Formats: sequence, structure tokens, C-alpha cells
Amino acid sequence: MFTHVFKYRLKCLLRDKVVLFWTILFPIVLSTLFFTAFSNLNNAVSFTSAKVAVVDNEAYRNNKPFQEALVSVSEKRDEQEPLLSVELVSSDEAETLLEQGKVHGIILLDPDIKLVVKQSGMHQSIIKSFLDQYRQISASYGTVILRNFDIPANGDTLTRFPADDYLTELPLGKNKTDNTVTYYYALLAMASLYGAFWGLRVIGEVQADQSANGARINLAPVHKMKTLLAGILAAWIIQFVELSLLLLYMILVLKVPFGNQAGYILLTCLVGALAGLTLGTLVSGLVKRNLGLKIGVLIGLSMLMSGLAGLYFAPFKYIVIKAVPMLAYINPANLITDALYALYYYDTYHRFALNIALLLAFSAVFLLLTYLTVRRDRYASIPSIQEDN
Amino acid sequence: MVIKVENLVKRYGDLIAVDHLSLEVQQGEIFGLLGPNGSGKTTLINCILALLKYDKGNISIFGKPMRPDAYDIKRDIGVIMQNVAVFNELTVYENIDYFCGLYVKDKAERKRLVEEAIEFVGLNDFRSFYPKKLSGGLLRRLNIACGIAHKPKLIILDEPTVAVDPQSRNNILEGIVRLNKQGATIVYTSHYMEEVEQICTRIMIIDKGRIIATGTKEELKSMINIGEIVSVGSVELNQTQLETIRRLPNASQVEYENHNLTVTFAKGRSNLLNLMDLLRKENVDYGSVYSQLPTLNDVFLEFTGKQLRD
Ligand SMILES: Nc1ncnc2c1ncn2[C@@H]1O[C@H](COP(=O)(O)OP(=O)(O)O)[C@@H](O)[C@H]1O
Ligand SMILES: [Mg+2]
Repeated sequence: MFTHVFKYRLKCLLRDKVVLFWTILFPIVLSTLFFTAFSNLNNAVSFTSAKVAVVDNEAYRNNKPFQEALVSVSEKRDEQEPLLSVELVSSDEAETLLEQGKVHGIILLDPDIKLVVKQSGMHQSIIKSFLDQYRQISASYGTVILRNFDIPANGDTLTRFPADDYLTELPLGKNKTDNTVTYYYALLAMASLYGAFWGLRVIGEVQADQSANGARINLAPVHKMKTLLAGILAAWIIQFVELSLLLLYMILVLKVPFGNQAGYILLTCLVGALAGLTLGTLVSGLVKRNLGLKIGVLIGLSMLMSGLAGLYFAPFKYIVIKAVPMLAYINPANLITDALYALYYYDTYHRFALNIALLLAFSAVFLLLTYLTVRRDRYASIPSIQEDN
Repeated sequence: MVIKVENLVKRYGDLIAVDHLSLEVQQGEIFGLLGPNGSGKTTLINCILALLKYDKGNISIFGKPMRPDAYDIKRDIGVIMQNVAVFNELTVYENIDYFCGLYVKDKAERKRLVEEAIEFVGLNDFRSFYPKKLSGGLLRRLNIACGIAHKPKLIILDEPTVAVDPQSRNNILEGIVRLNKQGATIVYTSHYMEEVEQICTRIMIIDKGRIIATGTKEELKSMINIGEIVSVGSVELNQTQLETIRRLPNASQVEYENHNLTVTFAKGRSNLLNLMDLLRKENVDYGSVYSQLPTLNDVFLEFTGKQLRD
């Protein structure tokens, strides 16, 4: 009996195109959108080094601090392109290179430091920012000579570039804190919570006051909880497979760094899927008839939860946790993202285990509350206009 | 005794949907539950099936109290609800197989039963269709097949012919009679009196959750004092002639409108002949004459003062 119901529940759910769209296609599309948005962003603050010709003269050779500073920004770190790519040349050669566009600027020590550029651009502003920084540190600063007359002599255009932030941030990053990862983790959390839509369906189909099919199921000589469990199991498996596919897509196609602990990540998906699913069964059990309201509540909840976990604005996650530490522990989306973080950044599994345990606890509570709302076997009222057919 | 309901009361807030109602359905009957929309038919059925909580009363089926977990009783009941209950993601065959499988474990047996049900409702050409692709009538037939595939001893149908084309309707009604001939006891609710008259062996008329009358259609009709209703079309009458007609024996009601005459006679002999004789004597021409026996609508009208039809 259980396998009969389970088999047909699987069949039905797998043919439900609407829920399939929201639970797998939509997250894949969204992650792809994130990917293109981030790669544009990364190109804009490009990691291609600014090419600079440094005139190899007496003043340069005598300025040890500047030489060191140059070395520090032209070394490759952690696979990332260095800030500057430096060529030591004679002043004539430097002129030619700039003229031919082979370098973005010339640094000339006279003995004051001078920057020569032909046009404004991001790379030029990176060089200038570097020099500005150096000036702040060394208090020995030269003048910038602008050969391009289109640019205001005061060099405003150059300094307006956001490269300052960039310059201060990059050399400091010892470990690769990649903000974009937050978005993908939060997206995976959102996809997990969307499992709620399966839960919604599964409940609707065993409740006589929610669907005509539910009424028919209630008339059959089968315990309602048996059909319900078969439905939940089918939905859980489907949602888990969907999350795994999403994960595979993010890892293999979008190259999102998830670390290399596949087993634990899959475990996170399995538990995340259960949390989302049971959240759905609970909402569906509580909000009885109004399908629109149910969907609204679920979308609102999953948006709020994954939003608080950093889906729309990554730093929000930290702001929230700082302001209301409790929220980190009662938001399933946050628990999912945090589990993934813990896997990625920590060597021990303590924090990961805590997250997983909390998720399981939530699922258990949701499931228990669901049971309490749907267990009664006689209904007070059965509306004659059903919404599903 | 297949169904026994004693003194059932079901309230929705202030509204009494079923009002101290008792009924008994005997083995082998086609029991008709006739009442206008909102008279409480569905509520009554849902209470009988232990889907709904009720305020008062006792219900037993096959001699045992009916409860939500009375699986031995449920196994022998087939229900066709007024709302079509099928899964849109399953084909005709799969839908019937799914619901039948809730009753019948054995696979080979189930296959046979499903095939039989498909044959029975005439959906052979549509077995791999999804419900969305079926017309209203075919969808209703699928709905019925899902409810009866497991060969129940008691079949309850709640308005199974709503929004159905005449061909499917006949198919459905004939099917119900066939199921009854094969041994099933039937409870059939409808607000169409013609259907109920056509197939039911015993009829209960209800209104506002209360019983109006119960009996065979002949018994019901004999409860009211109407023998026949005679309509005469395209006829020209003056006041005197109308008065003479009103004085005819047994004539209880005479209406004359738009050259159409309707005379309602109480039970009695040669009512029609008396009227015809009178018209001939008065040399009155007329287009058509039509005599009708009383309908269940007349019964309903007599008891409630309103029409059964919407
Ligand atoms: N779920 C419900 N909540 C409140 N009132 C209801 C509900 N279902 C039916 N009713 C009311 O109960 C009465 C009987 O309805 P119903 O049993 O559906 O009648 P029928 O099946 O004969 O059309 C009607 O007045 C209807 O408005
Ligand atoms: Mg009804």
C-alpha cells in the first residue's frame, strides 16, 4: 500500500511543471544571472594588472622604499593577478611603450615621483591610486604630468575612480574572502526553502477540506498519515535531487567554490530540503483553504529568510547576525548558508554539526506541528468549491 | 439495512444544514436524494461518510457505526463526489489504478478491475489521456470510474451529472442502473427530478435540511391531490366559458394566459374527456392538447410552496 501510494506520488510530483519550475529551473536561472552579474563586476574592477614603465634612473635606484613598495604590488598573490606589472626601462623606451599603448603609464622619479599617462582609464587610476597611497606613507610625492589635453589639468577624472577602495582592500586580503560566495550559498538556501511548495501540495492532497482529491483519499480504507508520509517522502527525494543538481551546476558550470567535501554538502542539501519541505507542510496545514494566501506566505517567508541570509545583499547576513544574534539560529536559510560556510572555512565540523542539528530540530518541530494541524479525521466544514481542479 | 441515519443535525454556525434528519437505505435500492441546490444533500452525504463533524445523531453503515477509521466499512463503499477528484498529472488509466490501489492490493486483480472500470464508463479510447484533455462529460465518467473500480457494495453518487452533455448523462444513468443490477446498493443525489424519477426505486425529497417526503415516485405523487394537468394551446375563450371550465368536476386550478389554458385536476375519472366535451359543445377551436401526470416538482411545490427547479 505504502509503495503504491509512494510510486504514484512520485509520478504526480515529477509531472508538476509549475513546482518543478520554481524548485529547480528558477534557482538555476537565478544562479546564472548572479554569475553573469558577478563576472561583469569582476571585469570592471579588473584583475588584469595595470602595466607601468618605471624609468630606471639614479633617483629610482636610490629610492629603496619605493622599490619595495613596487615589488609588493607587482607580486602574484594567491593566484590573483598582481596590481601592477612593472617594466624597468630607459626613459626613451618608456616613452615609446606609452606611445604604442604597451603600458598604461610611466613612473619617473625626478627625484619626486611623477606619473605620465596618455589617457584616463581604470588602469591609469590604479597606478595613480598606488602612488597616492605611497605618498601618504612616504610623504614624498611628485607631480602628475598629463599629456592628454582632454583631461582637466587637476586630474579630477583620475581620482574619481573607485580604485582607492580596491587598492586598500586587495593587498589586505590574506584569505580569499569571496563575497560572491555568500550569494550562491544564500541561493542554495532559497532553493531549499522552495521545497515548501512541494509541502504545500502534499498537504493539500490529503486534506478533505483542501482538495477534492483529499476528500477521496479520506474515504479510502488507508490511514491518512500513511498517505501523507508517502507524499512527504516522495517530495523530499525529489527536492534533494533537485538541490543536488543545482549544486552540481553551480560547482561544475559556474565554478562556485564549495570546498571539496561533497558528502557533507550533500548532507546539507538533504537536511535543507527537509526543512523547506516541512515548512511548507506546516504553512499549508495552518492556512487552510486560501491557496493564494498560502503561496504568498511561503514566498514571503522564503524571501525574508534567504534575504536575511544574504541573498540580495551579502553583508546583510553579518549585519543581521550582529544586531540580532538569535536570528542566525532560528532562520533556516541562515543555518543552511552557515553550514556551507563552516564546511568551507573551518577545519573542524563543530559549527557544521550545530547547524545541521538545528535544521533537523526545526524540521522535527515543523513536522510535529504539521501533524497536530492535520491529524484530526473529521472536518468541521468542507467547502464545495475546490481550488485544485 | 445498508445505511441508517438517526436524528442527524449538522450546523454551520447559525445555519442548520441538516435538521434532525433520519433515513434508512435498504439493500439493493437505488435511493434518490432529491432537493434544490443548498438543501443539504452534500452535507448529509459527507456526514454519512464520516468526513464531516456533526452536532447530533447516529450513523451506521452495514450495521456498524461509521467512523473515519472504520476501514472495513470504507472498503465496501465507492463514492463519487460532486467535485471531480482526479489527478491532473495522471492519465485516465493511472488515475483509476491509483484510487483502485487504495482498496485492492493484489496487482493482477487490480489490473482486471481497472480494465473493467474503463470498459464500463466507455473510456477505452482515452486511457492514456490526461484529464485536462477530456471533455466535461468524459471527465465525469473518469470521476465515476475512479470511485467504482474496486466493486463496492454501496455506491454513493453526489450530483454526478452536473454540467454533462445529454449523451454522457444517459451513459451515466444507464451505468448506475447496471451497477445496481450487478448487486450494488446506490445512493443518488440530484436536483434534477427527471433523473431521480428515471432511475430511483425510492426517493427522499429534502429542503433546508429537512425531509419533505419519502417514497416511491408513485407513492410521492399519490401524496398530493393532483390527478393530471391538462394544457390546451392556441385557444380563444371568453369569461363565461372560463367560468364553466372552473366548474368542471375535480378542476382545482385554471389558468388562462396568452391563449394557453392550463387546468389542474384533482384525482378523478375522465377529467380530460370532460374538458374536451365542454370545448366541443362551446365550439371552441384549439391547437393542441397535452395531458401530464404530476411530477415530483408538483409534489415539491405542494409541500414547500416553491418550485424545485432553479
Ligand atoms: N462549508 C460550509 N460552510 C458553511 N456553510 C455551508 C458549507 N457547505 C454548505 N453550506 C451551507 O449548507 C447548506 C447546504 O449545503 P449543501 O449541503 O452543499 O447543499 P446541496 O448539496 O444540497 O446543494 C447551504 O445553505 C450551504 O450554503
Ligand atoms: Mg451538493
